[in-house]
Amino acid sequence: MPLLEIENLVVRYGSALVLDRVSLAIDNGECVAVIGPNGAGKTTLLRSISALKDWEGKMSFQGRDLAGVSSSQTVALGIVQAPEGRHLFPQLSVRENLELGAFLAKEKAQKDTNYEYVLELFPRLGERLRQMAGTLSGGEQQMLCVGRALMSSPRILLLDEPSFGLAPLIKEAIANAVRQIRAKGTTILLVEQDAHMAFELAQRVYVLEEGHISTTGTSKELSEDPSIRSSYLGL
Amino acid sequence: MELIQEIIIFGTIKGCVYALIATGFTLIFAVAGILNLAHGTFYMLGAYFTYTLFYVLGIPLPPAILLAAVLVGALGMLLDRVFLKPMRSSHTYVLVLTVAVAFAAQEIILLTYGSQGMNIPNLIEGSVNLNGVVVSWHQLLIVAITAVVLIMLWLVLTRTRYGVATLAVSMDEDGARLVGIETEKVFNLSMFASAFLAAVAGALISPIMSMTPEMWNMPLMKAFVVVVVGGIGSLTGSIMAAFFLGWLETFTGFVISPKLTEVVSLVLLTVFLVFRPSGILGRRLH
Amino acid sequence: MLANLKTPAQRHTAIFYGLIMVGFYFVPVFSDNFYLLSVFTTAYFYIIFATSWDVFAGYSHLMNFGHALFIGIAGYLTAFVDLHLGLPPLLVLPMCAVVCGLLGMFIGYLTLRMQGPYFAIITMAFAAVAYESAIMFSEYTGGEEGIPGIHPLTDSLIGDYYFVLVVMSLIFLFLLWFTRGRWGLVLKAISQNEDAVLASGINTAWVKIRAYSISGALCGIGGSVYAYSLTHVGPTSMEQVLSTTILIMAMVGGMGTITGPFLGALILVLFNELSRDMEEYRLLIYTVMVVVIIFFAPRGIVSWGQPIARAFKLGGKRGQAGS
Repeated sequence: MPLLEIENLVVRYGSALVLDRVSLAIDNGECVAVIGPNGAGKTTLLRSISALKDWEGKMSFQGRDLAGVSSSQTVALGIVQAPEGRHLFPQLSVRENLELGAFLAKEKAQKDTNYEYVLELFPRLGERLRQMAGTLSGGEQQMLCVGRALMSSPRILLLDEPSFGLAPLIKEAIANAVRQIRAKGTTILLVEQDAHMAFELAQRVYVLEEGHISTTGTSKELSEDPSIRSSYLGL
Repeated sequence: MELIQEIIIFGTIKGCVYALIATGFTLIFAVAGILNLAHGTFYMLGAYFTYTLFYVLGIPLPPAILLAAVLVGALGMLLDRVFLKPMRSSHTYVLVLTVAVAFAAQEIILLTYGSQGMNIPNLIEGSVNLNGVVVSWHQLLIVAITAVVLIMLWLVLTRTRYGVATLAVSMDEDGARLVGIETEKVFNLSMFASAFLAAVAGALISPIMSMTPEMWNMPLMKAFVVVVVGGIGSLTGSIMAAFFLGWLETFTGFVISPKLTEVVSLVLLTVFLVFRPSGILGRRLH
Repeated sequence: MLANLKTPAQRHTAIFYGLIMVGFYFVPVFSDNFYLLSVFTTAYFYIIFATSWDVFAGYSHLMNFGHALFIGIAGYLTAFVDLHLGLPPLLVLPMCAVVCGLLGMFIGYLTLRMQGPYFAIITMAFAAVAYESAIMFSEYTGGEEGIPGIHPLTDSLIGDYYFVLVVMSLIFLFLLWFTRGRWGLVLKAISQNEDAVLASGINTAWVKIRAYSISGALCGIGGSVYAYSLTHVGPTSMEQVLSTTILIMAMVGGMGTITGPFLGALILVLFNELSRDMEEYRLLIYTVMVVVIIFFAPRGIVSWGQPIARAFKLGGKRGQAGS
């Protein structure tokens, strides 16, 4: 049984159909990427999974039906997102942001372990614990965003364009962190416009175009597909 | 010299009442984006409920005020759950619905208690001479209670789990949802706190100012002024602006003309809205 | 005008409102009861106020909480001009329209940048400043008592009735024409997505200022006629309660439709007057009813029109309700 299973997901904004019968499945421990052009519905997909957006169809997590489950409950189940636009708490410190990331965590020991794990992953956050999140640089904000998500011990981590708008060096640092998170066995659903990064990090890739999945396969297969190569890898 | 003392003392007392009114108004706006035109109604109900609990049910005044404030807080939650929840994102709906509720409440109070002004007794009788200025003990108690209540609010917001969650929601609602905060619960608790604070203000003022079914207008207008001057969504700004307005009004009343007292706030409101819509401090709850 | 109405629903709507309007003109034929005629006259005033409110606030969703400002300004202006200069109403009405139109333009200009709640507060504040000023400068305004002795419009009750009715009809028709055209479309689009409209090269600020100005001008005409009709103007003509009543009527009827505020004002005024038997419970029932309607029909009672019309059709009869 897959960890997260989505069947015929349909999402509308008013009368516009943004996602049209999208189906995908992610197994435990996998790193799966969704690539596609701007406006294809990638962010909407993640927002639907996190229950920030109303959806139709069928989604289940660990066999549990996600219909009618609130955002807060998805986090409790272990579906945690580092969203597009980061959505940090700008007037709270880095430490407070991280603590809020563990809002639902019951055990203090687990909280402390996660906290140390995040600071190990992103040493730069450790140097800025008392700084307000709103005053961090873009790269640091992205690290905090991913770090905050890790604070609640996710079963599956949803990453929405973690490298978006970042300088190459910072981009690499984030990619590195994703590799480490993956190596620890955390399941990852990565949404990326940068197909190079997606193919490198993910084992399997879905291509989302105009609201539906046009192609899917392993990173290796797709990176050899001529049409994918020309439209996404610029080769 | 005595004039300055008087202005400071009476302005501070006024400022305390305004601060109690405006912090609640700001809180629910910053957290849920609700501009609650029924906020003055909570103030009014605080006074009338205290009156009923004290005179009709014979409960001593201090617990009566507390109980009244809790009841009004619960009504606030009810208003939020029943009427506002379905359409919270529509400013139009929230504005019109809350103002309609305010008028309906005015009619209910009018039918129940009549239109004549009523008072409750002071919490402590007697007065004290502060360096030449005579102030009643009750007025001093207003200052003390306001200080305690505002410090408690600050402690709740910065030290408790749901307090910090409230700050988080006011800063980024989606972000708050994504860390697992139940925003509905936060909205509800904020509405409780907001109504509670207004009710305390209404109960504390009614030994000094008579309660009438129209008494909800004044605090609503003052809340606007304070919130706009202090910066919409800024708690600290609201508290600062409340005292500023209290002093300014008292100054105008004592030095220029008592007739102008009510105009001061309106002029302040207009000037700030037109020339500095972001207020003294920024935009968010802090 | 009927030729422009393409769909059957539009035709039914036109017939529905047309019949109501014609009915208004025949009321004095059946009864010259003073009370009845004054109730209808009051309704016409509120129709002017609510529909003129709607052309700006209802279409742009910028809640104007101080529409009575225009009623009061026009009323005082009418009193001054009538008592000191002795100008005839047909000159005073356009004058009030111009002054209130310019005032609307000025306020619109000042408040351009403001979004929903800010705009609500500022409009409330402007009306409150005017209200307090009217009380304060009592040498000129008569303070709380106001200014009595404005010359009546005509010398008979029926004359007044028709004067108000004609003004109301003209304003209503103008607003229907105005909002059913390009401007109405642009205003609606702005309320939904201002950036998109801006991107298509339309100066949205100017559109809003213009709509606000028209809203003020038409309300000014109503305010002037109102003062003539009462032969008196006072600060109550710009009270907060009046502004709020107007917007509640528009909301109950259905914002951004012109026909909605027309119905809302008519129904609420008639209800308010005809329910006098209930004495002290009247206002309670009225306000609770308003809360209930807004809660269950936030798009107003005109939104009930379509289902009703459809129901009529299913029964094989002709539908005749507003859409």
